[in-house]
Amino acid sequence: MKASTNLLFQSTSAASLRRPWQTFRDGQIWYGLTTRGSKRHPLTTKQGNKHYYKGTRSSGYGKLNKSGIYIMDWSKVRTYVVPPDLQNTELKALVSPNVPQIYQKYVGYSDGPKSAELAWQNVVDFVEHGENYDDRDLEKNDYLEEYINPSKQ
Amino acid sequence: MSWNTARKRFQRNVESYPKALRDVYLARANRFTLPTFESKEWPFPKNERKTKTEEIGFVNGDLAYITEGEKKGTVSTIFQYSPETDSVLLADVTSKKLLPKPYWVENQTSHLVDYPDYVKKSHIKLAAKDRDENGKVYYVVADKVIYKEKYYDDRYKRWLPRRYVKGHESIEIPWPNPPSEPKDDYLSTKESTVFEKSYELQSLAKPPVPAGVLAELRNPYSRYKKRFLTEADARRINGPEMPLTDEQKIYLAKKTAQPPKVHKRLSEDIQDFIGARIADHLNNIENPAMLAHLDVLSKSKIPDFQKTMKQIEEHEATQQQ
Amino acid sequence: MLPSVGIRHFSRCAVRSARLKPLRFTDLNKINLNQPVVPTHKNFDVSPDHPLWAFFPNGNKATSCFRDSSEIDTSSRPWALPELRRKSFEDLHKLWYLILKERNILAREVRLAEAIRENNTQAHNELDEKLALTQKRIKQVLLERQVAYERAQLMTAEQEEYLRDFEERYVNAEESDIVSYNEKLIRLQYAFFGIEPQLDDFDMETDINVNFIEGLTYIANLKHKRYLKLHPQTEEVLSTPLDGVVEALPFLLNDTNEAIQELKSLRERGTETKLDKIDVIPFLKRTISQVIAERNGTEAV
Repeated sequence: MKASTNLLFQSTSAASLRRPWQTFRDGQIWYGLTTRGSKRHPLTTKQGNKHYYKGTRSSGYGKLNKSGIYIMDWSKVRTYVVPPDLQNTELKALVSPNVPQIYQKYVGYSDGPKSAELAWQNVVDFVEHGENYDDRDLEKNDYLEEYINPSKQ
Repeated sequence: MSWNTARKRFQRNVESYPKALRDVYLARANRFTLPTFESKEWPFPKNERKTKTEEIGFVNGDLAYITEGEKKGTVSTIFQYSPETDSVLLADVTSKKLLPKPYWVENQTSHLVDYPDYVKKSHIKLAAKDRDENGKVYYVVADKVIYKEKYYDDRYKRWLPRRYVKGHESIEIPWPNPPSEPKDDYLSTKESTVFEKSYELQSLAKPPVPAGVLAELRNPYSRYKKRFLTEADARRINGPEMPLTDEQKIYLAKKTAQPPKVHKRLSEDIQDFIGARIADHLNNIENPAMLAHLDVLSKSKIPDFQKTMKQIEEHEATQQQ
Repeated sequence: MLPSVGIRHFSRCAVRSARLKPLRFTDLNKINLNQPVVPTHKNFDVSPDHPLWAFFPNGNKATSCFRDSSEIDTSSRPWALPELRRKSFEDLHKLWYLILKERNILAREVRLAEAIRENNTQAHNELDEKLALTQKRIKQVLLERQVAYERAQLMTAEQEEYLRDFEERYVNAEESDIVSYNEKLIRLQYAFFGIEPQLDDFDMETDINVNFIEGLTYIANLKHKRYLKLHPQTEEVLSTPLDGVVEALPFLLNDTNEAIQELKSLRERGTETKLDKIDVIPFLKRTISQVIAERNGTEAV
């Protein structure tokens, strides 16, 4: 049986493509390799014909104008702002396992570090007491950082 | 994690399958493992794994009382917890396994080796060792553990909650000593650098995060973000007011020319007539359920009726004036 | 007669005739042989500052392209939120890029391991998870700050009350306290209006805005009121309240006495000091940059 004869039984030729479970008389399936599993995946470069170009979604930084000159759109070009003195810093990607872990407590604030009252309190403290208004000795407090809302005491 | 994402979409995500299907794939995977080394269960998906000490309930070095299996009723030491299968390796629970020669370790002389077995977390209970007045050792097994106030534990370098046996809250089960002192590695930041403070909020007029970074943190094109309609959008949505057709104008003119509808009280005769008809009808009803239903119905208030009555009263009041 | 060579064939005569010649060894001592080139990466000369060295753990000192699990950091823990909350944006930015570089190295190694069928990459993946967790936490800390900042913007009632209270305290302050109050005022103008304490730190493009004008008016009024409080018998020229930025600006740039003198001369001259709304910011920008240039010029001399 020719493959095209299968079309005679379908309403349209597209309908036959949409029915991967259709089989020939000898049981061979008409479309796809298996009847099980998901099939509606996007195409890869191994499918499609010679004109199929999948692309990498990586272009579009500009356009050709009508005389064939490429005009860059600099606002679409990716920029990575790398900090200037990355070599000289003492910081490292992880923390030593011997460093004690701080335990933070927010008492009387509605949303922990995100609460507006805490931000307001900090700003007022800065105005009244100057820089390092929140300096505390971690070791003395057993690595506890407690933020208590003075207006709710 | 594999960084080859092209292959990913052809791989099965067995973790998300139902249990029956997971077992099928487990059996398939076990075809390629060594005999006696088959895995019993497919690992938990990542979001179901427990990683916090408080969630797990014990640490390495704790004692555990085994409630199921061959070693039921014995106490052993936990030396590893595996979040992938939510089970533990215990010091005394081992079984003999066959190991082929290529996998032998140093000084091994036999194919049979003692290999630790995974015990499900639900099959153990936390235990603790204590001595009574006579110096005799006894064990306490906690059916359930509750956490209370936190304290700073210098051995673990962190704050931990105190553990108590539920129901016997005078019995505390202390956290065991950690197995070994951890050592710094090439990615470890020093303590002084970690605790150095370089930020405090100083201004409400200057944003703490530069504007360009904010676009990276939040999606400026989010569907869920409240947006404002431009004037053009509002015009497009609302549409202009259409002019009235001639028929509509005639209808409206007629309607305004008519006097407004006035509700009046029913006359005594008509009230009597309606009352008599209704009474006739109600007296003929014999079904007790229907009567009970009507009884309830009579108590309900009808807002439209009240509105009409109010209109009538207002109308009467204006006429009296 | 022309030789019959097919057009579509290359002539192989030379090759054939060369093969037909007998192989003859001449003086073997005269033959110079080159050292055979072994196909290994050591024969390539790579510049030590090649940017792709950043994908190797020790940069250009790397000796292998794949680390096994014993060489991977397994003991360090990810940065915790309380620790990141102490760090400035610059520090977090640096940390982000340090992590990114480390993750790039790991990604390259895992990708390589897949290609060479080396399956033991669990240590790489566990380390990568720790690094990714730190990156997520950095994002969270930055967002927390932004949210708190945005929410605090809405506390206008508290802000107004505080400013009013501060004004009262400043105007009525004792002579002995005024130094500390002036310091507080400098901090307040930065905290509430974003006015930098040093003129040189001003960013002319962004810092001169509506907020700046508000702050300027507040500070100038504050100082003017205090002056009137200390000198009850002043001339009438000075006692009327300040009107507009032209009169207010001297109070920000100079100390109070100089500003009062300037105000006096301005008012005695009777020039029009009221500016149109559109002219206010250009005026401020122009005047402040002039003052900065003057001060730097005199200091240089």
